[in-house]
Amino acid sequence: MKSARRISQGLFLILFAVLFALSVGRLDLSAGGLKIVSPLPVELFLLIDPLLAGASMLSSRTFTPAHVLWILPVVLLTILCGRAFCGWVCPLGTCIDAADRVARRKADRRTTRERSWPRLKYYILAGIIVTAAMGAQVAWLLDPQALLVRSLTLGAAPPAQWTLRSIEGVPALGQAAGAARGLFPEQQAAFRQGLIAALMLAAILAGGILSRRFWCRSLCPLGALLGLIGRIPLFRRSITPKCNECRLCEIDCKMDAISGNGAATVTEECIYCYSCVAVCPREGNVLSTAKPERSAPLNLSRRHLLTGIGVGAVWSFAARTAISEKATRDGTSRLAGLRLIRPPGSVGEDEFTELCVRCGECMKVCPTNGLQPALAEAGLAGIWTPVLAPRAGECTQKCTLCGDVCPTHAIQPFTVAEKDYLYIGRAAIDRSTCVVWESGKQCLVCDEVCSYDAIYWQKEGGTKMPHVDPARCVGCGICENNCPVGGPNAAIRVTCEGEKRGMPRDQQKAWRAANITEHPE
Amino acid sequence: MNRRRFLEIAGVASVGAAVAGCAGKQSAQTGPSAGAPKERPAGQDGVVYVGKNADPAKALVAAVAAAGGLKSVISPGATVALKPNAAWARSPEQAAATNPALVAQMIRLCREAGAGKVIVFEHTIDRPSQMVLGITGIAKAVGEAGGELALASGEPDFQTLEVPRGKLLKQDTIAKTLAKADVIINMPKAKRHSQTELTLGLKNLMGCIWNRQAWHTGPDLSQYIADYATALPVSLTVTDASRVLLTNGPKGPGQTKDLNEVIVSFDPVAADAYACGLFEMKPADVAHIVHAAELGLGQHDISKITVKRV
Repeated sequence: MKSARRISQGLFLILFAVLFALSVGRLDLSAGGLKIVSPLPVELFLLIDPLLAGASMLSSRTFTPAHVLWILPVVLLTILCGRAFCGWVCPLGTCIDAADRVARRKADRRTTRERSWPRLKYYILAGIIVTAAMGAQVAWLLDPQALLVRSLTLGAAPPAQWTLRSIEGVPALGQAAGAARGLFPEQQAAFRQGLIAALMLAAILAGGILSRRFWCRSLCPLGALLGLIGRIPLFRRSITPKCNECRLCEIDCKMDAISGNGAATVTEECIYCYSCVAVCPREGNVLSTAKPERSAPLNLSRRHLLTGIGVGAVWSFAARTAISEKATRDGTSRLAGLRLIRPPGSVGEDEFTELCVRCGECMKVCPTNGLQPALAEAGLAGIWTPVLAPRAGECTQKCTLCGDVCPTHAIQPFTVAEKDYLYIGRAAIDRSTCVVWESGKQCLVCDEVCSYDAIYWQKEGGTKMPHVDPARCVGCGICENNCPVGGPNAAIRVTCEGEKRGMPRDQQKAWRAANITEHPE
Repeated sequence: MNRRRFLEIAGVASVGAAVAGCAGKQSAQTGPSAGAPKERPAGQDGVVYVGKNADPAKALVAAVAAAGGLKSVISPGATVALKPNAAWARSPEQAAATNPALVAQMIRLCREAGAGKVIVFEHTIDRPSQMVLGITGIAKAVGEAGGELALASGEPDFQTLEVPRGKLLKQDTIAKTLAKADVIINMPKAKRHSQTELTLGLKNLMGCIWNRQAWHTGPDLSQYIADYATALPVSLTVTDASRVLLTNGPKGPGQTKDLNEVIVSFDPVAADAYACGLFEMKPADVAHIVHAAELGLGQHDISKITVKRV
């Protein structure tokens, strides 16, 4: 069964890798733009995660039946088999098992030589739940699925892509590297804070220095949640009459889930790895539906429960100091930065920071590398949520990928046709740096590249001067991206002014129709 | 094999790969530069061949035949690069890109004339490039006609190009794909243009450079366009005037008009000068055409241009 588990881990890791590789847009002419081509949703591991579903729905006070259906298989598995997800499915768990073999010498793979703090993850879970009840979502930071996709997207895929491109000129090896281009978007991806995201993952894998499965034992809030859901599993560990209390299994257990001289199992920690069964010299261990004589419920006394709630209260208060930054009336944020340009189809700002789990899927699929993790633009509550950085990449017209992959529908799906009236911001010309306005040169690149016919010119003194049409400009940023002036500061820049997230879509469409006027060219 | 040995081998291999990568980059930069345009076949100055047919492929075949075929520019086994206008993600009916059927027919004609390989090159402005070539229908056409698509996606796809005959522009870049080709055939789309009034063959060459923005902040965009054309060796210009874009050029969407013409010429200036008439404009209205004539690239005086219609 141990090898069955390894096979299962391997298959799910391969599935994770395949879905990660498939999260690149391809042209679908019938859809009129880029689409993901994949038999399963590329955000699958995020969809099935009960912690992300629960925290985002609770904090935003929304109920999404479809999302509940996605988490049902994992919930059912957990009710029947405890934390089997952790031992058989979780791709981060698989990476941790592999890293532990490197981090720990064989002699040190014993619970007696390890340091872990199993109650800590329950405090983290309590923090997430209480904060969600208070209307803020912080699950994103430490949820393993979001963390894994985010770290790989921001911190691992860009350097991998760059490395492969660098060796394309090398004979023989270069051919393989060139063939790998299809795994990545056309643009060389680069993300702000990519190193920090990568370091978070590295730190988790380095936890193996402290104990095997350090993350899973001491920190993982998803593991804590599954442990609580699966406290009384149908299928569980028990000992047979052949057991002679040698405690080999107890010493070997990588989750420190065995106590009472081998007789008792902490069901909230057992990940069904079958190591106890394998290490037992006399078939004293078995995993079955048999009801064990002794049980060892987790040491979560009332004191611990209160500590957990206390941690949660403190965390939620800290999270809610950001409430002022989300003072919204029409879906927009009145105190956030001008560059808080959300992807098209995004929900209002309040809801956005509650639903967005910062998984990075939208950033990964954005074909121009325009979606970047927010820093100051959205305030503390919005750190690492996606914002459009037009100078990095425009929101290219014939693409709907971000809305297609968002697992919590912080970005609602939309069509290419709808983009004509999904206003995410507006461009404004800086007349002090624009070469036409400032020195009468021949430019008009903004007019040339605009996909929405939102720039028009008017002759003044024989020169064609560019103007922005606010009824047509949706804030895609292709003008800013192509403006020949400036480094980070182009002569035409998009801000979130004019965004209309708060309006329903048909209202935005009607607004456009009411405000559109014909202009000469 | 122990750990130390493995690390030693890995270290040497990575250094070797890095050096090889740098060496590869070097040789691309010192490879054949485009140099001066190829010799124009005799008697072709100021001559344009105009095919007229509702089917652009048929119009092209007629015009090329009238021009004496492609053997004067394509040697057996040559690598031919076609440069259509496919900068924008617009469908064929929107007339913002070269007609895909025209590109396909050109590939076939080149192969019939003995070309070894026909590459279709573009450096798009809309992104991603694969999407643009798909939406314009050109990617499919290239595949069906047996050509190869080559799309520039970053600075490494370009190399330096000297422009010795340029008045203002002295040095720029050229796509490596084009530098390596034996023959370059320009396949522009005839359109109005917000900045240069018209975009035809000379303007289409702007898609061969890496840094287009620099031309807009330079002293004179029109002079740069003409200067660059002196250094890029275009053997033939095939202008798509099957359906032209009359308003909101170069990207559209705008008003289109079916003119059903394909213009073939060995003289890039004459081809552009003739096409001005399709928009009821004069060559003197387009500054870069005048500058190109001044640099001796061809004939822009309509009264001195011979039009052979088929």
